[in-house]
Amino acid sequence: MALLEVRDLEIRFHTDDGEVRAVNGLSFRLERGETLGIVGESGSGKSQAVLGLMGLLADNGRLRGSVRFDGEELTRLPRNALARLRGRRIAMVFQDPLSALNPHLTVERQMTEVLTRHEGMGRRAARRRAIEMLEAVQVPDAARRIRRYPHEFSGGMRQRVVIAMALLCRPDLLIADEPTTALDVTVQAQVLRLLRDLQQRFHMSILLITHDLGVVAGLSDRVLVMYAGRACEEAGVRELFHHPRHPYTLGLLQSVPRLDTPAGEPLRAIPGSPPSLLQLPAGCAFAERCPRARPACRETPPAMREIAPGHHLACHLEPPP
Amino acid sequence: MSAATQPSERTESLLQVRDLEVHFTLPGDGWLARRRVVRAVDGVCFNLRAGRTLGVVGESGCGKSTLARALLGLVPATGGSIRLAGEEITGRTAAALRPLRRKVQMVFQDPFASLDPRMTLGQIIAEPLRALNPELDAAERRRRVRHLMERVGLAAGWIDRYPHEFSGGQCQRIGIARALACGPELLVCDEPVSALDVSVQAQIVNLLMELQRELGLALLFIAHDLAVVRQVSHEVMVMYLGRQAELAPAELLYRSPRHPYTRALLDSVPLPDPERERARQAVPLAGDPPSPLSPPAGCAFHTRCPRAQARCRQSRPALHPLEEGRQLACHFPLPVQ
Repeated sequence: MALLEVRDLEIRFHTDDGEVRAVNGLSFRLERGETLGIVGESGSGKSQAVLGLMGLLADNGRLRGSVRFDGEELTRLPRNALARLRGRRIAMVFQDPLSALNPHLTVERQMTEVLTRHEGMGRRAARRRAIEMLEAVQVPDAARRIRRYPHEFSGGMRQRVVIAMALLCRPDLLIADEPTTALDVTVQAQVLRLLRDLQQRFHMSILLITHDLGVVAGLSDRVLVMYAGRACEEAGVRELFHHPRHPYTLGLLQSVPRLDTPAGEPLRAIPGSPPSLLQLPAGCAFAERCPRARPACRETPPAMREIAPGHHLACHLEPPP
Repeated sequence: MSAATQPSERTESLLQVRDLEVHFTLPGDGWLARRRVVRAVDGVCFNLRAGRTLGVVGESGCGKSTLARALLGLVPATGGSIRLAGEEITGRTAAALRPLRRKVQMVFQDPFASLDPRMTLGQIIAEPLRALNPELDAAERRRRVRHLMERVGLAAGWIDRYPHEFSGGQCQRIGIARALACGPELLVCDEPVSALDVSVQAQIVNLLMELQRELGLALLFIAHDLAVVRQVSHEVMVMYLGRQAELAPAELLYRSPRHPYTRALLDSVPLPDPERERARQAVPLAGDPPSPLSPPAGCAFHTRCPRAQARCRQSRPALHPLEEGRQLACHFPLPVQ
């Protein structure tokens, strides 16, 4: 049984301008110990999808579909049961470490509170576990630094503290939403390495949300590409990077400037911009920008189908060889 | 883009920056406490010619945005010299800067925040014309605005629309049209594509390069994305804690960096290639950049440098010229590859 199984997820927001269709018919599975990277640009629905499955949508949001975590249907779980699950078995790390930490409390207070509340640990044991976890994320001099306030840490150290907090209860699933986007590149390299090491050490599953193809390439086992609220392609990481089949995936890979290819050619941009989620086109959401679009693409949205073992594609066209 | 083969004809440069310093004084921590000085830009030297791009890279707190603001006269230089088209701009009053303002324009990071939501595209793009070319009448301004819009890939028919109707990429085109309105010779671009989605980022990068070719613009291109900078730049400057670590023709810098910090930056970039990413060994650099409020003594990079020795802790390395137009500030540079 997969640790997480999402089926036909739909998320809508009611706004003054109309209904925003943020996520449309999204399905995926995440196995134990596996990392699934969800890639997409702003408005692709990647962040709303994970907020939705965690029960953290804004008040004007509505969710339909099924989210099963370790066999249990989360969409029917009462609020407090879901909240309990979130601290203990599912943990989250977001882009901005400062927003995840309380500026008025020391790191020690914030970390031990998680353990005394969720795990019923005593103060002293909680403190010991917290220091161990700070050491696991390589915060130097953890026993002393744990008494400090969040603002006394640098950006990279703060994100380590957030990761340590997330891992305190040894979660089965870590959701990391753009975990290194706010960090400088040298610090990003450290945190990416740390996440990879921690996953092996604690054997957890990671749902990694990012716009950065380099970050995805390094951390994910499988990759799901989203566009305008829909999944367009899903495959193993090597397959996806070496044999992308969806014209959007291909366009994305070609439009990024890279350091490992010769410089000098103009970048191959994807023309246009993503459609408005207030009025999605009837057919494939990418048809407007797709170099290979045919009339049929504008009529019905393509369904996800398996084109090779483990490789799923939502495109009307015959995949390129 | 071919490697820069720039001769050292300093007289020809549109922009000449020498030993530029921008220091800020902060109040002390308490009563009678010593005031603290932040050396945001501390000894930067470069030339930039028409039609060329200088990329500026570095991590947060390295001073790259302060450098941009100093070039626009938005913060005063506390030392050194900035010459634009042969004229010194440091120490000038706002009024005395006015005739030179037309020559330098800025493209900002956040395309939404940098456009006034109550103004139409036409009003936004015409704003610099009103301020700096008051002799133009309304009809002529409108004619120029329509031309600029088409030039940057916006339909001229959108002239009376408002920014909120447009995507991030289109808003950045509006910002570029506004920057071009007075016919500048130098565009200072501070993270011009980092707020944009990758598929759109490429459109804007290509547009800036096209405009440069057609108009002979000089570009100062500040960004944290090393791959984007390589794409657009003839030369690249690497900054660390306000100081210039290395400057070299782009191709040379990326092929054979000689400052250990440049090497570490390049090695830190995650590549969109699963095999290479997984084959990665050690993390290139430990620790975070130190606070610009209290930079380390000697070479500012010595606390994180794998090659640091006693000398690096004691004396600050001077910027000196090396092979093929490279400038370097390092006591123990990496060998040429």
